[in-house]
Amino acid sequence: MRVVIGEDEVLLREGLANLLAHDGFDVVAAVGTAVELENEVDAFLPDLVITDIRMPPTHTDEGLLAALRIRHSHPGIAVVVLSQYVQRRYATELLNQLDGGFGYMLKQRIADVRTFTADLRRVQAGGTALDPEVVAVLMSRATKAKGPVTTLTARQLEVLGLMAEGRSNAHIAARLGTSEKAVVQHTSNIYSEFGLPVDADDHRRVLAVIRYLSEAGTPHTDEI
Amino acid sequence: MTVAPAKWGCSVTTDMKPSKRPTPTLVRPIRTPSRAAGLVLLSLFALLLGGIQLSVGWNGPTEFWIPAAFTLEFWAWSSTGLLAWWRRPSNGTGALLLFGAVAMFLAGIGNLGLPVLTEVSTISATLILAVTVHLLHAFPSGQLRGRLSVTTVIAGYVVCLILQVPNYLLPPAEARVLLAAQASAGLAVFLVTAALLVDRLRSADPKNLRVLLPLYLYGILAVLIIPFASNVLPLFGADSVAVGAVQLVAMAGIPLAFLVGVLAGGFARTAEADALSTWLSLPGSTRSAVAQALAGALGDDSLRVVYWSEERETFIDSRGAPAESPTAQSPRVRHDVHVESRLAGAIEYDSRMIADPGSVERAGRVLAVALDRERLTAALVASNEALGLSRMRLVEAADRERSRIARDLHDGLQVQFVLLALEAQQIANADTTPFVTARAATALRTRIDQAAAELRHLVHAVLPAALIERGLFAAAEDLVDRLDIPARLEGDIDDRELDQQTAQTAYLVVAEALTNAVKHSGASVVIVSLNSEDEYLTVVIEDDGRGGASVDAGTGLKGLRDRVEAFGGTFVVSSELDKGTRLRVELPCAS
Repeated sequence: MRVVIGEDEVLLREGLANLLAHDGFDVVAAVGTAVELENEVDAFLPDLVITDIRMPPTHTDEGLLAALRIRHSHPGIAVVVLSQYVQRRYATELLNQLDGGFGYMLKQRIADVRTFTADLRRVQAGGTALDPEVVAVLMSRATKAKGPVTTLTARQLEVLGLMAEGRSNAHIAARLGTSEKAVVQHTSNIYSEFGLPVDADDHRRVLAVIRYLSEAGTPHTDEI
Repeated sequence: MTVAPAKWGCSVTTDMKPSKRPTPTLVRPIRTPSRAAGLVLLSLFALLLGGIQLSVGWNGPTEFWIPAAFTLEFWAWSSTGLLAWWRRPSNGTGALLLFGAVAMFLAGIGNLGLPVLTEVSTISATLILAVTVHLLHAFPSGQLRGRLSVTTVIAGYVVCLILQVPNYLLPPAEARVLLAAQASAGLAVFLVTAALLVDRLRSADPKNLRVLLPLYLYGILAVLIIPFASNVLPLFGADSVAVGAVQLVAMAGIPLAFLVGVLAGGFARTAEADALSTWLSLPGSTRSAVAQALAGALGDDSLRVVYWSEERETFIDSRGAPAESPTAQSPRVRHDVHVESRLAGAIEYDSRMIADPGSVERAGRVLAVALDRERLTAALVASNEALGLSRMRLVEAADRERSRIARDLHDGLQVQFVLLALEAQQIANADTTPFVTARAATALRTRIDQAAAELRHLVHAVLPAALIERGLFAAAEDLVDRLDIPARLEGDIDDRELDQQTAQTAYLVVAEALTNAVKHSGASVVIVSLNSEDEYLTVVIEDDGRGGASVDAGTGLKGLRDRVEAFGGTFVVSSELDKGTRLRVELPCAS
């Protein structure tokens, strides 16, 4: 898998490139600005782009904007954006504009190498990867808004959270120490609770859940 | 006989009898008759003169309306002159108007059929024009200023008195040429006067134009109409009676116009010092009221008062800002005002409007204490402003430090934590690592991740990423997202219009209010609204909790209020018991 990295912190860029190379990824370019990143992507047309959100020159959100632009001009390239801090707004922007094949994670997740590289491979295959912290925000918003989420059991909520992170049924089953069949049962209950259509495509199904969660967060409280 | 000391001038001594032993102690100056009494005498005299003119004119050779009209003209000039003198004793305009009255009287007695008087009348026939020119040049102070003005006015008198001589000494045929010369010279005087007045209007303070413009216009017109009406009006079919009437009306208008002009300076009925003293006793005199009173009393609307700041060793205005000194070329003049030999401030005025520095000095003495009181206010305002600025600098310094710390942590420590955790995990993942070590290394990685999470929250508390990356609205949204109770963000702001400090202050306000709502209010819902309007950002955080919040109750609200006020904003907490809490903050957007 051919990868282009955008990260302005030199040590981190090299560390990331090394760990990916070590895990069998082909890092074709690693650069420090969003402009260079887009140039390298145009030149190499990689399978995956990993980019920091905050990069020179403005140190605001150019990495995220570059990732979205790259995806619009090259729909086949998967993008993963990394950040020191995650917020719902960026997840929503990615969710609204991209149909799978993206990830949004804390930089700290790099350290859990195996999970991280598995996430990268899943994203490259068209899946999604959302950081647990951002999922927690989406879940708590949806709970506060008192939608159908509040009717779920504790176990169903656990399954929902892992689904929203983009995990496969097998992964969820392993994490929860239960059978894959039980997980499938939970997920179909959640779908019907949310009124979501059954979709054969795994990735699309997960995306629908995340979007549902994101939408469900708008509180329906009336005026004080 | 005792000689009165020189300073008593013309005063009369009581001790008029020769005495062997000079007794200076007995010598007392009798006050010169008051100005009012003098003016009453003068008006009686004018009435008397007018009466004589009327009674002689009744039997005179001309129709009675002619001496009657001249008498009225004389009375118009003398009464306006007396009025102006009475109301504005320090202004020379009154005296000049009285002089004009004399000129009018002399011009009028030529119609009484007495040979001597006719001669006198002929000599001074055009004197009134010179007086009018003099009035125009001397307005508004009543004193001439500038060599050109003085020369022009003297030239005017020469034209009207000396060049008038051929009129009565030479036979008409020979006089004609010289009279043409008089007319030309008169026109020249008039043109110079007009040019000078236009120049004065151009350089006049806009505040004084209101008085100057109509008066100058009327003065110029009158000086034109009076001598040339007899040449021009007949062309339009006017007979000699009509011409005379026009001339008389135009002349009668002159003293009226000047009287109005002099009084329009806002001078009160009484003399200036009395007016100011009266003002002083008024309760609740407001800031810069001294300047207002002075401007009215001295007749210069552009007058202003500046205050001496000992601390800064400079003059300051009422808002505490340094006041610029008038340049040497400028017609503006400063008169220093002292209180017990200590400099309190200065009166800055237009020397073209107030020619008599004495009047400014007298007014300054009367108002010195009041001015000193205003000086204290101005100094307070200034030091308050300085305090505000230093408060702002403190907040700014804290913000800079905050940003620097957040940046250092973001670029340094946070990256280090990622790399450390990565290294630990790589040790755990290596094929050669024994199982026990691998497990320990993974546990180490997890603990580093936890430390990183703590650091992440710390950095976020110092300076949230969303605020830097996307601005206030996104940052507030992140706060609302993570709140433990239902919350809603409303409003519409353009983050690009907010400067960093405003955004950061507003963010801290929202963060603190939300924390309080969750911790103390027991609220079930919070609404945050952000709106910008008219250069102000309005932040409102409202909950439905138990209320009773107070800025002084030791919450973080106090520090926030200080911060908001340092930036010139307002901070209002309404938190009645059981009625929820509403915090409304307005911040100026310095865009």
